[in-house]
Amino acid sequence: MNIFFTVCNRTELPNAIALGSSVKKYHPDAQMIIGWVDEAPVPSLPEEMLRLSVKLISIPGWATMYERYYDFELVAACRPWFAHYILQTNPECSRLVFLSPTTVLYQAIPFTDLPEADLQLTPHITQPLPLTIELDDKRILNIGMYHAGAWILQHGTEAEKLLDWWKQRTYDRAHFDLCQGMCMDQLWLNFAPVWIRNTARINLPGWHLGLHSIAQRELNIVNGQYQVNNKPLITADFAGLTSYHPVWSDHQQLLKHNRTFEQLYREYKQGLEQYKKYQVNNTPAFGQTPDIKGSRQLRKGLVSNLKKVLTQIDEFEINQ
Amino acid sequence: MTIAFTICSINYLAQARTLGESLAATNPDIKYFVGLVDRLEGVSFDESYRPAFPLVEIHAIGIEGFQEMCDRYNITELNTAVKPFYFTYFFEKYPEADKVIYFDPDIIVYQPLTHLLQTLDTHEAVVTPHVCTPIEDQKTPNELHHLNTGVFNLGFVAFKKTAQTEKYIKWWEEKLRYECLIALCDGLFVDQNWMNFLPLFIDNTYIERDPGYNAAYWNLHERQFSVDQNGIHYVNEDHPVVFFHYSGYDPAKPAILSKYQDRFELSERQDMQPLFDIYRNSLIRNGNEYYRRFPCCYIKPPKVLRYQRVRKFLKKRVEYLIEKIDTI
Repeated sequence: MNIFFTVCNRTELPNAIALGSSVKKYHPDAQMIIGWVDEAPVPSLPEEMLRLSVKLISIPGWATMYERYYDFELVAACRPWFAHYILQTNPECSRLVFLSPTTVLYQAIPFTDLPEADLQLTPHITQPLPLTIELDDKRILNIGMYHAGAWILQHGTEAEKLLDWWKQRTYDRAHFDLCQGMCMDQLWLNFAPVWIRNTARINLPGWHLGLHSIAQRELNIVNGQYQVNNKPLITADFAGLTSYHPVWSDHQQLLKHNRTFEQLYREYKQGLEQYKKYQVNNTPAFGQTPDIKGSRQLRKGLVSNLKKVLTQIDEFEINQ
Repeated sequence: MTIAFTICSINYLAQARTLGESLAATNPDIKYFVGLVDRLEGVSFDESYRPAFPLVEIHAIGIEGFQEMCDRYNITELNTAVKPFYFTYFFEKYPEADKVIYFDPDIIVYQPLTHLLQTLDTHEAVVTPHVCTPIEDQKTPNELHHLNTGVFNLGFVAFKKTAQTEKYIKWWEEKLRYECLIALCDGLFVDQNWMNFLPLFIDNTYIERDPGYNAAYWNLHERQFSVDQNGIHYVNEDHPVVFFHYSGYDPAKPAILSKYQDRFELSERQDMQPLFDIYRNSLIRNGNEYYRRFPCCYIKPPKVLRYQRVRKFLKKRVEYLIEKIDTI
């Protein structure tokens, strides 16, 4: 049996339900689990989706863990813990598919077209980025070679050991602190192909389209269907667009480079309207609440320029 | 034909000679060069210290905009930034060379590179991860350091000449022309972190996990050494040491395994003593004390930045603004 899962708190619950609905539409026999890093009362989920509370998976030292992180870091840090728990409690699961809550399916995942491997990862890029866009190659070095928003693991293989290693790291080293080599759960995946020999990369053009990849892929509408490089669109991830994401919210302007993706996003946002009833007010129950000020992009731009001024002051040579 | 090369300045020629000697002894068919980030003009070596290996001076390999790179970079950055340019140089200058291997100068090759060359017959590139198994402590270097500076150690990389590798090397050259910096917050660590892209851009890259390859201070947690009665060195009992990387070792401080780590004391790793004895003796024999006296011509005098109090005053205002404007 295939199990799909995602992890969220109240911030992205409607997104998670939208993902779950698309999963059930194209994979009706699969189980859909939403890992819930929150404790607010919410309307019952659609009956074909299972909510799994973080309290149920019993993370040792949970209070210490959640006090350590911002809420968005905590959600990411909990992913390998949920994965490990799901595999332990579902021996009938043959394949575990993780998709971030901002992802949605546009067709069934063609598992037979994917490379056979214990672990299947999603590279951010597989060729150099064009020089002219607002995302450059070194940004990928900073955040990790693989997108933590989409990976597939075969149950009963060596790849399961990865989860045990990964969760020990995300317990206390899943901050968003690029200077210290941390990008939540994601940067750790750089080690995965070294630890797990039978790791493969998912290179299907229609797989996991998002801000990270739209500069390199051509999205078109052909006969009313979205196609990426002339292949069907399988999944898209709208991370950083509907809610704050520490990496992709900095790159929202990429949307303007691809009008078709912009349209896809508009449709996604409209689709989210039907899940409005799952919106929960107030801040998530676990993790620190980040103070994100208004006009964030403008502020970030100004700060970046002011930091350049600091460097200039430091390095300016005055000849006598 | 296979070429192996290293890159260093004159003050590191004892290391480069030690590497060259080891290659000549174990792999006589591999042609060895030293890429010299220095100038030989006006330098005269005593007879016994004239290197037996060809020295290829950096200014002579035709790097476009080399002077700007010299102006831009400090000596560490410059030494690492020129690596892809040497690959291009060797592939172009020696068309019969279909495989080119880079070794850091502080490496000794202990075995024939037969397996590596066979791997290159079927793969376009070979790299070695810093570590092949997890590190459970948080001493230096730990997993986070490797995430910041690169999964693969760039003391070694081997390329086969193909259209794809040439394209990759050209891309690498352009990156290192401007962004061969130590700027961890920006994802940069000289030439090394860029190599994380290699298996993604060239699918047929081989990740060599044999513990006999590129053994060094960063992977000692997973490697134990021994030597048999024939003097063959082994890792983890049955893997011959193919090459050992003595990064951060100074023969003047023989008790210190590497200045870049705090996990192991050489005195507590008796299994490593024979390997380090060999290295220390080789460096002394090959003129470590002699060469280190030559200053590198590309080292720039330190910048003198005056008016520090004025700078501090100005910065305080800007820092205040940043504090007020910034957001998560």
